[in-house]
Amino acid sequence: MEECVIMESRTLFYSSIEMIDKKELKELQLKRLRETVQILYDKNLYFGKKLRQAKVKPSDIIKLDDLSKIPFTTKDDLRVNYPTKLVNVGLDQVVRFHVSSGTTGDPTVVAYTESDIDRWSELNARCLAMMGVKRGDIIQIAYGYGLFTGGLGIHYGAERLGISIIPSSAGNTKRQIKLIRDMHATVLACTPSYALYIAETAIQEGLEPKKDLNLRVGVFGAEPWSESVRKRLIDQICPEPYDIYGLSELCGPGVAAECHYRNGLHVWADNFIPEIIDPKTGEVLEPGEEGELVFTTINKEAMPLLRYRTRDVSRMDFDTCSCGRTHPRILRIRGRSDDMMKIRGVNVFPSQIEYVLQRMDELGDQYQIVLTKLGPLDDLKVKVEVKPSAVSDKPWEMVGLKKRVEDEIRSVLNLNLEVDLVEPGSLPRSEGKAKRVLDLRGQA
Amino acid sequence: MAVTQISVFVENKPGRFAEISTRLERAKVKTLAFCIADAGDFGIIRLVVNRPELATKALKGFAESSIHVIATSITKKFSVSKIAVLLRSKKINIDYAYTSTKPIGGNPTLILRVDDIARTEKALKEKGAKVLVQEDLS
Ligand SMILES: [Zn+2]
Repeated sequence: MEECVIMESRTLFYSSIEMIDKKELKELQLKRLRETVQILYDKNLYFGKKLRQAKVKPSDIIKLDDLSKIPFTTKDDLRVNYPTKLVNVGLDQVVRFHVSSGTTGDPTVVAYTESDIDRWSELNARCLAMMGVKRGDIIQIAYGYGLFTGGLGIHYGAERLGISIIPSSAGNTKRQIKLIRDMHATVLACTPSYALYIAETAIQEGLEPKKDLNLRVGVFGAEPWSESVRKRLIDQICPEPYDIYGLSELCGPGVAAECHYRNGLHVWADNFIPEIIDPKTGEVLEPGEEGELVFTTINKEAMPLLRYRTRDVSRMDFDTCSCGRTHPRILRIRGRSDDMMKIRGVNVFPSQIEYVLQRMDELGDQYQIVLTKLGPLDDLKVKVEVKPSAVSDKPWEMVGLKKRVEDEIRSVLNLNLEVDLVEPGSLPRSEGKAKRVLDLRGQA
Repeated sequence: MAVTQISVFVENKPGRFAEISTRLERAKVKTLAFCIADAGDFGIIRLVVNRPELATKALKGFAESSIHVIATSITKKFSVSKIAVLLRSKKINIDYAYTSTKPIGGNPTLILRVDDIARTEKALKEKGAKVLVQEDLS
């Protein structure tokens, strides 16, 4: 019953294309894919050569499955073509460059034409509308503005929807709280870890974030997060936190997002063709199987990318969602394949550890995974902050808590890990993407 | 009845107790009894103070919680062993105990952590032992 009421009060759709017939969607994808391949084959020195080397001609793309004949694009392709060698239009047609710092090596540059910015804005407008954001809402955008795509991407979407924007950008947490409060912001866009930090800071200032702030919807992305974090976000800062996904290489935020059914993130398949591959062999996996997400952009001018490997690990669901959207869903990102740690032969993602930690009420929001070397083997230790409510005057009871966390991790990950309970406030906080893994393996 | 004990969670690293005692001193809170219980990587500092609310404020940011404990005067008539024997006769189990850092109301004071505070209090009072309340500490 409540669900129906919520539905009626929502602007559910920004565009009718969100419910496009599946067959039509496939035809549109094929048409746009063929155009994209043709244009890169003809005009792009680098990709044209790559296609020729792989002996793929545009005329070989007859059906969507033929996509698998095309070679992958990786971050390295972007790096070696730094800064603008992959731009597929005249530089005078480029209206924007975004640059991602790249944690290792050269930065990567992504270019946009006017129409690229326009389409990007629409995708973000679709995402926001899908989350129930509508005219009359006030959104505070606490993603970084600038070279990073997060701030501007959401900004354009909000502008397109016609809602009021507070472009606070990242940082200055106390001012963020003051603005959310004074301006009665109803939507907060930032990383989920920063949202929790905002809540923590508000509580320290004597506020009750859920009562004193008027936030309804959270647009939380730029890092993978788990269902137990969702529960915390609901408990602490806003009743409707949604996941939004994107990659600067593809455009930035707005590639996919959750609808209010929250059963995966709808990928805007009229703009991107998603695939799941086996990261080792490169083979395309069956629907539902877990593997690396790969995207082909089929509606971009300045820098189309064929089969771009995201390193993000997920699964796809192609069934029509209860919300009526026909665009397929990527299930929650389990983590980046780069983040995957191999501990004593077991694959571990930080998000799995997070899932265990954040569903235990005695533990705080902050944790850190410390990678060390134990002889020739990698070892892993988890530090997690305790909540005041967990403190017992009997230390053996707290040792019991530590053991319970360790047992819980063992049952979920099948791995014996040491857990350290640490004081609240002792782990580093972040205003952008949280740094959850501390790698000390180099320091023996 | 009884008195408040504050239990503070601390990591086992240098300076944590110094931080706590300095903060209490600055807030003009008098620590009347304390004990550190160690559990390897972390420990619990237990404190009985004259102004628990003030102490809790001064320790903002720490993970801490409060419980009630028994504070009873150690006198000639009620030595530590007498008190222990008395509690044994009533089958009252002591989880842990420690003593005050200075006399309270003229006597050193035994802090007792027991499961059944009311029964302990009754047992002690019946025999004429002095059981302190929070007001006795200020
Ligand atoms: Zn849906």
